[in-house]
Amino acid sequence: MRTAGALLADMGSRAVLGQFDTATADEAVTEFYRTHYAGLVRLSAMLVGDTGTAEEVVQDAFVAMHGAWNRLRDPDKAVAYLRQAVVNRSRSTLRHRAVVAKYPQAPLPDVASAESFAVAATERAEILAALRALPRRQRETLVLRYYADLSEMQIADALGISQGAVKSHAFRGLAALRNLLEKTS
Amino acid sequence: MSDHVGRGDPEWPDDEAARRLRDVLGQEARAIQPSGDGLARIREKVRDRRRSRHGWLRPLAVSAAALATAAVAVIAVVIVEPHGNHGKTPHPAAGLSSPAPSTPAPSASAPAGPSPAASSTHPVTIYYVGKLADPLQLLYSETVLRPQPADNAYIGDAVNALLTTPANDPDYVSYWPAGTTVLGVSIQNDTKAIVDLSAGAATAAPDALDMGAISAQQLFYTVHGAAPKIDSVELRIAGKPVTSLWGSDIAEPITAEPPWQVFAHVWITSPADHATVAQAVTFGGDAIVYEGTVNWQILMNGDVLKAGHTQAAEAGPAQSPWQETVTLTPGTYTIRAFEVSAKDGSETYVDDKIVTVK
Repeated sequence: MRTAGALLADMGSRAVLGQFDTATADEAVTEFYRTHYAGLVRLSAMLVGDTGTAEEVVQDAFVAMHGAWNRLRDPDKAVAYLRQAVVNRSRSTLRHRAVVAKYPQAPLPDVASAESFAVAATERAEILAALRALPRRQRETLVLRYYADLSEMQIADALGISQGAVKSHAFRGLAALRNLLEKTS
Repeated sequence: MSDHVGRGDPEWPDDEAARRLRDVLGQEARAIQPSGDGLARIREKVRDRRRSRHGWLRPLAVSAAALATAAVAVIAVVIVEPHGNHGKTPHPAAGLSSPAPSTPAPSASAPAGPSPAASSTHPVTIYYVGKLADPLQLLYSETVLRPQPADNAYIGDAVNALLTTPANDPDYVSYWPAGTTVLGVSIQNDTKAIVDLSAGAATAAPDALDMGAISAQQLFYTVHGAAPKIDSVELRIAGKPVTSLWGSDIAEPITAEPPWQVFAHVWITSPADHATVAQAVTFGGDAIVYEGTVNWQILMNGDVLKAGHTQAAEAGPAQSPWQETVTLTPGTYTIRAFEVSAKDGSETYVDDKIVTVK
């Protein structure tokens, strides 16, 4: 393929707008599917808690990107758009579940029962449980940071908050995890 | 994701807690495999949307349907998890062993609802020894879903899985003798697991000679995968510590050899061998490759139909994910992935999967 493929392969900063006129929305969807779909599904699943919902969320984000392609064009913008759409849609899925199911902390509650077989063996479960227990913004910040490896600015964009807020959510969230790890070790 | 922009950012804490969180999230994510028909679904949705633009009544109908679905989904959540135990981990059954996502119980009409299985199972990554000596016996991994172990006995459960689950891919094998059982697992100082196996573990089949050292690593990595905090494994057989296994000396306790020394450098972890997949086939896995380049081929009856290469997110010696998507017509194909040797241009570290495109 002439296409999106070659052009978007380097997601770097050398977007020359004229070149991207040749990449149609359909080609962009195909190319971004190849390069980003699995990663975005994993990201969404980390936020919403199941793969089926995550795939729906990501597919809808691709459809939205397809619709917005005339505005986007630049692959950097398109990737940022996709990521933000995935994060936003994951969050509204959670909100919807929370409202209807009346779980204030809805998404991913407890795993481990009290009697632990051994501290070390359950650490993974405990870290996940602790993550789930964090306030939503803190949890989202940690997932975007330590799973998706986004920068502070990208996280701020994706969550629609300031960079300062990103920093403070990350610090508080990590402090809570650190506390837990100290307690159990 | 491929945007590894922030990792070196000195502003961000990268202490023990951060590293463990990264490990755990990475492992959880690895167990999540998209279904493979995503591209087809997106195209369908784009078509629906285009069509709906040509009649203003249509969007109303669509959103009413969407609302109905959402309501069903929510009900499903409430029924499935009456104690607020929503899909306990972000890695439900869908897509791991069966590539088609939409195969839950027929009554579960909400595609988005977590499947009942998801709340009571967890992924276990089992390591196997590759049968091909290329260039040495090295480890591959497969992830299976298992019921939550009682009392959080994750290590015992993982070792049990290792001893009783034959690899799905016939190129992978475990040399642990059939019938070996776990007598007990205990933890010392939080980081050392003592794994006691039944007496049968001491007696190797003839083909397991020389496989002791790699099998010890197989055991170690499987335990470490289940409990990332464990950094050494003391192996006991019928209660007695052992320092050799099937004629090979093993370290006591067993500690990690670096992945680039004991893992095959190219893994295909999805789709599973003999999976049935949609025409847009996404395949991928993890790789430890020079400059991050993974080469792949699609073959039918031994003929190469398509070939290419793709970049893993990071170059070696780190193990890093890679994936590729190709469109194929219905039929049975072999997907091969390998590294091209920097030394002589030969193909090394080959992994392959047979898939049927429907």
